[in-house]
Amino acid sequence: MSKQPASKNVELRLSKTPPARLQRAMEQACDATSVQLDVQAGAGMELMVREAAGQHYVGVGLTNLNRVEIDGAVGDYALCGSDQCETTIHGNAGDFLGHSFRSGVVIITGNAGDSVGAMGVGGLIAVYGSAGNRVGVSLQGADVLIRGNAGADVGFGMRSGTIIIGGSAGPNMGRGMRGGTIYVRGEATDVCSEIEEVRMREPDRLKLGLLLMKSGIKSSSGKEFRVYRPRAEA
Amino acid sequence: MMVDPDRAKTLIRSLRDRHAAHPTGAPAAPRLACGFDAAASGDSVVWPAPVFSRLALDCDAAPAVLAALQSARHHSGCSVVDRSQATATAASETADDPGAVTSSGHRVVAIYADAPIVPEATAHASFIEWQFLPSPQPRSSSSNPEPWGARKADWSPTLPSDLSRLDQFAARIELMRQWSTVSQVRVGGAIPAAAVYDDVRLMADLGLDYVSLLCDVRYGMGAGQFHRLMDVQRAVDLARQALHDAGRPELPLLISCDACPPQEAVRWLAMGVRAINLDGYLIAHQTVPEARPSDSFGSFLGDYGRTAAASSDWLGPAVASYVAGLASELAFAGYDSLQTWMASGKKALQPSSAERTPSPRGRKGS
Repeated sequence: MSKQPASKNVELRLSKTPPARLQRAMEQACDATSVQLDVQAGAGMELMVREAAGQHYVGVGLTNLNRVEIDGAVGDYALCGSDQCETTIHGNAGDFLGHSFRSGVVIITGNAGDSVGAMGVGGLIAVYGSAGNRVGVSLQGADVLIRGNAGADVGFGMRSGTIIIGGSAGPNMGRGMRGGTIYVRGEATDVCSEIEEVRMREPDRLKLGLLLMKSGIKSSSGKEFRVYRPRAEA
Repeated sequence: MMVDPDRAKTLIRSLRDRHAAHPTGAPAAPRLACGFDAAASGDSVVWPAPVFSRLALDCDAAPAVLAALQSARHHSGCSVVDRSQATATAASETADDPGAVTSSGHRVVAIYADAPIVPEATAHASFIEWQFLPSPQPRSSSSNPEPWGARKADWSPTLPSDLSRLDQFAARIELMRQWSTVSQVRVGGAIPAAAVYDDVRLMADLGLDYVSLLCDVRYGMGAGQFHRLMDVQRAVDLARQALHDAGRPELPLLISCDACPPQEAVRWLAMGVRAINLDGYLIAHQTVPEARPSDSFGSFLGDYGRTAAASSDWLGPAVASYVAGLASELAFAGYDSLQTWMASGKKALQPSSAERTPSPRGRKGS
């Protein structure tokens, strides 16, 4: 029986590390050529970030980490372009959280600012609190879940992917939307004419249940959600 | 700020001035290096030659062409704008470290403003260029055989669709600076020439390190595969006016124009343009591989016709010829470096306050 490689645990303080260079600081701390090489060898990499203190660009380009824990609020563009990381932020986040997100999971225990998951191409971004305007703007395949309420322009210019709003959605939902699906549990005050409500089908229920489960939220039957998709072109 | 292009001819030194500048005779090969100053620190990164190519980015160029461009980058100092590749490694980019003394041109990594950011692709680049135009999309060949870019609409100036305020883009530029491993990274913007005054002014206000103005855009290696977006003279005048009004007259301005010969290029350089796109010149000097008799003979006998292998051997000599042509123009004018030529142009062609045209939108000051 082969011996399981021990996981490495790195703790960085943002007061001493540039927030956008966590990945490189991590590689230096581990004395490794790159984090990816370690993961291929079977070792798990974990990153604890303390004293985030609302700084911008925290965790840009983080790649191939088993677990990332960030204590405190983060500013704008947190986890931009992140790939294959399981991240938890214990606090609030600024604008453009998970911009160009590629894969993995991000869970925010607090609220998020505007444009959560903008241009995300994959992965799941879950916000336990509420979010600002333009949730999932220009979304290109990622899944975004807001447990609370969302502001205006949900799914603005969205091409594909999924947005789940546990609370209410603000005005102009689905403006410029060309693909993808929006699930809303609460009120959708002003839905754009470019999208329409469609009947909840079995694949929708399955997808909802899976995403809620991945987000760590107790799954319901999904019956209380309403489904919106772009109108089919004539 | 309109300047008569013919006034550049007055920069040619007289016998008396030549003797005063170079009593022992002017050097045969003037230095063509041009600097790019950082907006914040004022540090300068030098391009060995004031020329660049966008063939690798805008045209669906064959791998042989891309390899030839990389070769020309190393041998002739021509910088190359290339699409970001996630596989770019630190080892392949070490030559781009501005701290290194090298005569190679720089690799400019392009990012489309409406496409997701791939951080690793730009991590080790010393030049990053935002493309304010739509990213190329595949077209279905059956319904539309045109290549991407064949329609002028493909070159419409574009801002990222996820912006709700323009200051958010300034933060995105800062993100690239923070992420880069290169301390002196230059972040520029390429914009199709449309509403030049407003667009260039926006670029300057956003804090970009240089502006690349696309007056002619090329979408293929064919002679006619380009669009003229705006007259170069008009575009340069408007851009200089915008930079002056934004309070950043020293911001480097790059232009792309079709088939700009060296004698015309030095004129633009004297007028404040920092570097010229030579793609049009390269395409004009493209040589077609000659058909060998054996090919046509085999075809004549009923064999399958063989097409000559695509060769890009012409590209390297064409770039070298262009760079040598620039040096030759400067030597003829009596200058030993591009810097002195541009300084003379700035001094001689700077219009007086009475000559300055009012801003297109009546705005002054930054």
